[in-house]
Amino acid sequence: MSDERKTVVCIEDNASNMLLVSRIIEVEGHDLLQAEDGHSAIELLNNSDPDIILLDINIPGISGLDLARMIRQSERLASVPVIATTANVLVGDKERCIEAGCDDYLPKPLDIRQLREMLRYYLQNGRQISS
Amino acid sequence: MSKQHEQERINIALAQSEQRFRILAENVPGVIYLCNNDERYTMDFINNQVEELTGYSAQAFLNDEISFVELYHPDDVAVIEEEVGAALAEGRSFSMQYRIKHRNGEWRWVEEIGSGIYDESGELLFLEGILNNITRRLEREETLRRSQELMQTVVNNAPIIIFSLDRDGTFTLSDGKQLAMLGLQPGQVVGLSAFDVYQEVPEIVDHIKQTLTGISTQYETVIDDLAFETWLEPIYDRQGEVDGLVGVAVDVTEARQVSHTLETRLRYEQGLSLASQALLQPDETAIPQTLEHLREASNACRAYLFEIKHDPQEGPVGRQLYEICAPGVAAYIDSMQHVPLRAAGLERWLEYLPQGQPINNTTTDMLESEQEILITQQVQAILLLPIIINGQWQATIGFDNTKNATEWAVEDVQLLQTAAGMIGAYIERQQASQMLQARVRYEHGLSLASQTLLSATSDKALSEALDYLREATDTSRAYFFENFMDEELGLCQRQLYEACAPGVEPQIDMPELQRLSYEQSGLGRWAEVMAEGQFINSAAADLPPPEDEVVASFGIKAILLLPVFVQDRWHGFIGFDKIDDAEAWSEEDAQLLQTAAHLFGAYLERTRLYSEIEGSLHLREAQVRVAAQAAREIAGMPDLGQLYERIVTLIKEEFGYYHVQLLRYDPTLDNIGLVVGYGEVGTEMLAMNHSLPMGVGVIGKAAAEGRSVLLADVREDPNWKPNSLLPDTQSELAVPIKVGDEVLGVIDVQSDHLGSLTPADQLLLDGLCGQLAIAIESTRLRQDMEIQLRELDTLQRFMSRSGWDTYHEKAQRLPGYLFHRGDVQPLSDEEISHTRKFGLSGSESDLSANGQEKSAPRIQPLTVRGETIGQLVVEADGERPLTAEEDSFLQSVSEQVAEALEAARLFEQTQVALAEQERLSSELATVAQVSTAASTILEAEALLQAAVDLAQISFNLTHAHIYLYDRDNKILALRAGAGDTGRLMTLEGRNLDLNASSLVARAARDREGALSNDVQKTLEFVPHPMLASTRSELAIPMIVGGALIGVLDLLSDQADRFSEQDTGIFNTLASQVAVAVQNAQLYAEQVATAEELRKIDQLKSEFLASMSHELRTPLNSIIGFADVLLEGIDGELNERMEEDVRLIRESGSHLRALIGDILDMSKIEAGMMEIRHEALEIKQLAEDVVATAMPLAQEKDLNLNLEISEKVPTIYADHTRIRQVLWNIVGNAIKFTQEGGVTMNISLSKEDDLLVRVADTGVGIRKNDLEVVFEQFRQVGGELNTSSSGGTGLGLPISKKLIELHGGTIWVESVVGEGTTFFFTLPIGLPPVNAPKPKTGPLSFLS
Repeated sequence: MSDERKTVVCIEDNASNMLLVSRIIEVEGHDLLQAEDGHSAIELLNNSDPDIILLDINIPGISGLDLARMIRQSERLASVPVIATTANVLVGDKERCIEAGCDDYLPKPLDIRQLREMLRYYLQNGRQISS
Repeated sequence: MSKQHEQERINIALAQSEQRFRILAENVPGVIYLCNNDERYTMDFINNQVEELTGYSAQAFLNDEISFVELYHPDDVAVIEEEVGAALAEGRSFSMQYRIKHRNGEWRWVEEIGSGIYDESGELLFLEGILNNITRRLEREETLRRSQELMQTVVNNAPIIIFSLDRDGTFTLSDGKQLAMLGLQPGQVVGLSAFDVYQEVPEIVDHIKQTLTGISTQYETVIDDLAFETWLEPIYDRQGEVDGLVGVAVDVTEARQVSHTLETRLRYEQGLSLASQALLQPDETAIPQTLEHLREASNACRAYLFEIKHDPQEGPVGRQLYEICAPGVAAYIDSMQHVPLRAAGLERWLEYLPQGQPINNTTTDMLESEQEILITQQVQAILLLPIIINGQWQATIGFDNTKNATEWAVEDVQLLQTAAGMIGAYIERQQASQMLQARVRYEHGLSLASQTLLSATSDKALSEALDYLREATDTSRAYFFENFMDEELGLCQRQLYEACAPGVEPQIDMPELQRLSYEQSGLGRWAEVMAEGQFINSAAADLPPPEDEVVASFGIKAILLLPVFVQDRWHGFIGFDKIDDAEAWSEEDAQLLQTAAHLFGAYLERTRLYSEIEGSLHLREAQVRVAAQAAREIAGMPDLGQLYERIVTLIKEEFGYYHVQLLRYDPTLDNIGLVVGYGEVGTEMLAMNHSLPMGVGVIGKAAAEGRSVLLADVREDPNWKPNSLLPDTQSELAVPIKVGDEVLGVIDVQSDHLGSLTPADQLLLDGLCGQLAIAIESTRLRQDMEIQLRELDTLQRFMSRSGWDTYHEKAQRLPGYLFHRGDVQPLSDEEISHTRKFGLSGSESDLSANGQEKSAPRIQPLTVRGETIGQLVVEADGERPLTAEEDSFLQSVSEQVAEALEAARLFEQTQVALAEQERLSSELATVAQVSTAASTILEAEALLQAAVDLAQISFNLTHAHIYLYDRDNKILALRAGAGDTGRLMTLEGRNLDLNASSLVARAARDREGALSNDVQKTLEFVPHPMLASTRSELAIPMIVGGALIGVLDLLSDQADRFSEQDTGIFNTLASQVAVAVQNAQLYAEQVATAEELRKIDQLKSEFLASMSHELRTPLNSIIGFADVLLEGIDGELNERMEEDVRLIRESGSHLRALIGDILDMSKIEAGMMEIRHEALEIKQLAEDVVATAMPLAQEKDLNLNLEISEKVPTIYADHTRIRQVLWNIVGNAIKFTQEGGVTMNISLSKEDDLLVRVADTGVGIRKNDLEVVFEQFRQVGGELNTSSSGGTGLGLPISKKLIELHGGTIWVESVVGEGTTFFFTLPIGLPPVNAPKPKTGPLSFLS
């Protein structure tokens, strides 16, 4: 199952972070679709069928948290796992991300092992919708 | 006939002969014939053998069915005819060989020998002869010949030489081939002695001799380029004696060459393989080792590497970095450190190498211009291989052959080119790695420099920051220059700080760098460029003249200068030198360093602000102190002379001027004369009656114009006259002492330092002079009072008409009384004017002249000391004239009355004067009291309130206000009022326009007191409902140094409350209050400035926070991609690469930790650190930290224990932050402990707080250092130095702040050599109101 080629959407405005993620996705053998701001992210999500979404909370345009809520409200994307990434490690950030509908949270700077591990987990198991 | 007979005989003979012949002919193998000499040689006889030879029977020939003529080979016909013809003609036998055709078609060689048979007459009868088939023979001969030829060919062509010698060593056989090398022809040698032939090669002679003794010998010889292997075998005769020898030599040249080539190839391959291994060396030996391997492989005498730099002027310049010489070969590296190729004439280098083409030539083939260097270095052949990196020719490896003029083989060159490529790749890798490391170092250095500058409190920080920057940029020197104006040289620079690389000569002590004019040293352009905010970044050689020479004269090869701005003004620059590398900085580096220059500017600006404020604080402090002291002393100073002396001494001693003097205006002479001068000089000048006309000199000008005159440099004023008693005066300041607009005198101070007197001094002395003017005025008032009192004394004894006039004037009317029949009434005005008609002259005639009907009253003048002070008018009843007695009585009465009146007047006037003086003096004392009290209050509102309250009470006034002047809006604002009413009015607010019709506004406009002693009659009076009872008002402007501060407004419910004298006193009070107000305002400004500084400090922290964030972003990329490499995502790394990348990652992580700490610290300092109170299981957290730290402890063989009391409850604290603190302390403990272990103990303190103890058995901390471990940027040395422990120095300070933010405390106890224990307490805390629920779930990556 994990051998399948999956589609990963990464929404991230920092070019070098994007490059880092793209390497990981490449080596994991998946396809990567990229968006750099909230508006282009919506367009991309409307026209793609992602298996997982990596979402930077601090992106220009629409806030990442709003985007996460929109994804959860969309029938088509409601079951796609969303992993939030952000450099904010202030009190309550994680909670806010989870509350907005993200499944998990990766602090920046990204730890690539953690990222790979998380990607594999969610691509294999899908969302863990807690009751 | 005889003929018949003869015929017969012949026939018989013939028959016999024929018989014989036939028998013979039949039995010989050859073809015997007898034929006619006709055309067809018709046969008379032919034996049967012919059939075998030709295939035709003898009979056929005899029958002429066939003829030999038909069988001849066409080519041979001519030969046959010629030979036969010739032989017959000469009478000899013929002999020939020719080919005939066999009947079966085969050609056969025959040999024919024959002769003619003649009769006696000599006529040819027949031809006879014998034919032999020689085809076989010829075939054999041919075979032999062929085999001989073959042999010869073999001998000639095979690498074998055969020769033989006889026992004497003489050549008996030789194909001579080997002799060719001796210059001999084959055959020539036969008969020669080998000993002679090989004279030159004694070893061969020895070998021959040895063989001739019977011993087989084998040897190898190389002559020229040919190699031979020779075997010599002795030849024996029948007796077994050695008879000679046979020699066989084989040419092994080719074999040798093949094996040589093989060896060379092997050597090259080995060399290349070693070279490629050497290039993996991590240290500097990589290239020299590689070169050594390549030199050995290529058999070169020298191998070297030239670095090529592209100089814009000189073009490519070579510098030999490494040279490896074979043993015994001279090195030339020292002379090859700067080789400009074009100038050196190395044209071919320039032609080939940049194109990537090698040069492989013998010296003689090189251009003449190139040969010189090569010949000097004994080079006979040279191989140069370019190294091209990124399309640019960056280096060259070279090989010299000094032994012989042989070029390198093409294949070898190709191999070496491969090696050059490897070196190129190595250099490229080195460059990339250096760039990466340089980038990390750069950012690290910049971050350290920023930290230093941002947290700096002393100029030492500048030196430190320069050190960091220099290390970061890896330059030879970093320095800071400050600009200054030199009066001779104009704008100059001077070096203030410098940081040098080890071994680099410092230049800071060079006197020329302390006063270097931009313009005169040819650096005017720099000043222009940097003043524009641009930096200068150039190789020295690229600078325009004469800058290039100036820079070069300091031994600088490349220079980077970054302007430093302070308050938007170009202040100086920081600079970097390279002294061994002529490459300018990249634009990116220069930009980065420019931020450092900005930080310098910011620091300098901050310091300047600090010192300015500090200076002005000091100044104010001194001023207030001196003013207070002056005010106190003035109160008790009985006389102006003493006061002046005291003031001069105070100023001189408090402020340390060179000279201080006080001069007073003398209105009689209209000049300004010295009153007190400090010290002996002052006394001496006083003795000379030193004085100045008004308007002359600094002092005269100050006095005449009523304003301060400051000469920062006395030489600038052409009219300034030096005083021989004060030879060192460089600057002078004269400040007028003014009361209102009246100049009382001047205080003059002089300094022996150029420009040391500043507007700040002026401000200070202005204030003091204000005080002094008040003091002088007060003292003068007091002295005046005393004088008046003395005058009063004399009044007792001296009566004058003017006294009475004054008295009358004061009374404003002539008092008169009417005595009428025992009744005494004051005279009515009418009566008085009536009486006046009679005048006061006392002349009766005047009265008569007026022609009164009634009898003229008797008028007796009242005279005191001859002065008439009144008159006694007696009007008699009826017509009775006064008797002489009565007249005499009247006279006497009038005298008594006059005396009595005089006595009464004197008494009354004295009482009034005394009362007045008493009031004045008490008011003066009050003024002094108010001033003294006011001058010590530094808070403006309080001061104003105190002043009005004191004034109201002390002067028994209904009310007192102070309005302050708002310059910007031109209004007077009520700022303080006495008592509750005043406070209420102040609260309500009351503003007066400067142009308003009001006494207060008038006083402010006219800058003099405005008085109304009956407000109901004054239009300008503005009534106020709260102050309805006001009858008199006095408004006095408050003026300091010519500037209006406000108005003191005094109100009384008595009319005529304020006299002219009061105006003077209240003026004094107003001035005192004004000075105090100004002091207070200045103080308030300082407080505001201090507040601003605090804001700047906060800005600093915010800046630091954002800077740290900016620094972290690229670092995250560095670490992230290092991880990508380490994870093998981009392919397998070899061990060395992995090590390198790991190093990059670790350095990056360290830097990130450092920045994280700075970020934390600045967050804390900026008050932005949030502490979250969440439920925290300390046991779990501590176990976690211990588990994480365990590998660190195990690495050092340390124990790491955790002891937790059962009683420890759940606490409420910030999980992340407490973890950070624990980690800092445990990490530190492990770091500073070499043996033993670390124990963490968690329990409850006596106060029921959580108590955490972390004890180690480490080096311990000295007592002195215990206090500073929690300070920023400290890392206590102990036995381990800071660099080895590699911390940020912020761990403990951050921990301290975090614990304190939690409401806990942290401390440390330590015994040097035994260990250290860190303690901290944390309140158990309460759950926050909206405590987030602990997250639960099947799996979470949330940490």
